[in-house]
Amino acid sequence: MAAKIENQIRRLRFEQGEMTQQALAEAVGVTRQTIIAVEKGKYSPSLEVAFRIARAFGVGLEEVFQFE
Amino acid sequence: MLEVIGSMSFREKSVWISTAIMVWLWSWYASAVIPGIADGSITRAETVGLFVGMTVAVVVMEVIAHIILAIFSPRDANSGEDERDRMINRRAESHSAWMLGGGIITICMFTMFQDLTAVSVVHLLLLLLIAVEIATGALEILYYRRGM
Repeated sequence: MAAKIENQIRRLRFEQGEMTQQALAEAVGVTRQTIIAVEKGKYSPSLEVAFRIARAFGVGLEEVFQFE
Repeated sequence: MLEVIGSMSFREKSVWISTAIMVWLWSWYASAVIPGIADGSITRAETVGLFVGMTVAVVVMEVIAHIILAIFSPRDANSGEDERDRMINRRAESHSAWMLGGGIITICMFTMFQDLTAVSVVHLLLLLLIAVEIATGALEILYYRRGM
């Protein structure tokens, strides 16, 4: 089970003009299903994918992921 | 239901299909052929033929099922595996490796204390390999659904 890592992906997608999960997946280089799993907190991505997600939104890593 | 299927990667759907085909065909094989071997009504040559036939049937069914799956979800089929798929596969295989090791030791111990024929031992080992493959698939499905 995913650890205590929360994320703001849903909010950030909304703020990016309702960016689709597919568009984010393509920007990051993973499958849409992995974005779904990360967004739901069912999968903690690698550091590289976490940085790519943050870069896709144009924000820092800690604005996307928070360790509880 | 559609939401659940939509949340599955091509790799997860592939695992579901492969595991279901293996459970279906090999459980039939175990229930139909193993008793025949035990009571001697199936000869060694027939056993080999049935096993090869079952292996070919599993491969053919998997190929057909994956072609159909790719036709219905071409984008997912082309996206390939990502780090989550690989991590789930590695974790499932690392756990089922313990099952394989334990099973081999159990069969070795069983063989030492029982008067088993070579054909029976070969069948036990092959069934262990199939059981481990099914267990790997079941673990992957668990990790995909539960999260990790």
